[in-house]
Amino acid sequence: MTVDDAGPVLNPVLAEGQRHGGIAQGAAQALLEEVRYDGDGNPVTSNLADYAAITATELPSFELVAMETPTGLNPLGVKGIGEAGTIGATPSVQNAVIDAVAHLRIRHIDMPLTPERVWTAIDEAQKAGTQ
Amino acid sequence: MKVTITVNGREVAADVEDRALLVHFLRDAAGLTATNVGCDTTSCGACTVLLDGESVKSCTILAAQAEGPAVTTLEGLAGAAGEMHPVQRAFHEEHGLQCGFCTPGMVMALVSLLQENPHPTEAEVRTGLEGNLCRCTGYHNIVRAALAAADAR
Repeated sequence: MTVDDAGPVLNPVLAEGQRHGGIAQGAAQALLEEVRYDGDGNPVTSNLADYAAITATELPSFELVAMETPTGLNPLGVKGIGEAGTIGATPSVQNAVIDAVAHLRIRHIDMPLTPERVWTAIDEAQKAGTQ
Repeated sequence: MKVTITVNGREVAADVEDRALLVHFLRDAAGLTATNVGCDTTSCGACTVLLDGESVKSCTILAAQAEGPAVTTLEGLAGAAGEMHPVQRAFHEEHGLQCGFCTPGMVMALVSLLQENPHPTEAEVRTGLEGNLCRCTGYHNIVRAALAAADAR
């Protein structure tokens, strides 16, 4: 569930679409997406087989809450919408994953939270706990 | 080499390089440009077409391999009077697109999916679309369109 407030909305269908896409990209940044380079500076994520763009399979449907609070800073009262979903989605997903492993005293894992990174963090925390 | 392919019920013959891909045949020889070249590496699904009704990424098959089966592109979906295919109509009504680049491939993939599984669950739609990338919609309205098209059948 997400809440965005772009001020007065002329076309709700288009505005909702912008939010859907932003939420997906924000979640993708937390979970999958990263531009990586090897030790010599060569890009190793230069095609869509190596760069993990998010697919329909990894995402749920979204529930949007409508809010329209005009800003007094311009005559139309409008704010932005295109990037809004990305801003909230990334920390929300990151925080959810950290919350899920908080009982192991894990406080941070670098983004993106790939299965390998999460597994490594859990493994290290469990080893540290048994010493 | 000379290649003859049946596209949307019409035979198209052209001299192409041996290495010519089906997607380039469709765009350059048949003049059907709805089928997009996205990644050229079988990752994005923008070039999805139907071969004998089954979805295939046309950047991953040689034109010469497509002699024989009936090829259907997005242009071949609408009825004779121009009436939209139920999947096309659902994309329109549910706003299942933004920039539109992935749309032809998404529509073709879903036509194939709904032939195999006429009443998919949301999870089955999402799994079925795994090979088609969209950067705009977060897939939300595409999945809604797929489920609406299934209901309309």
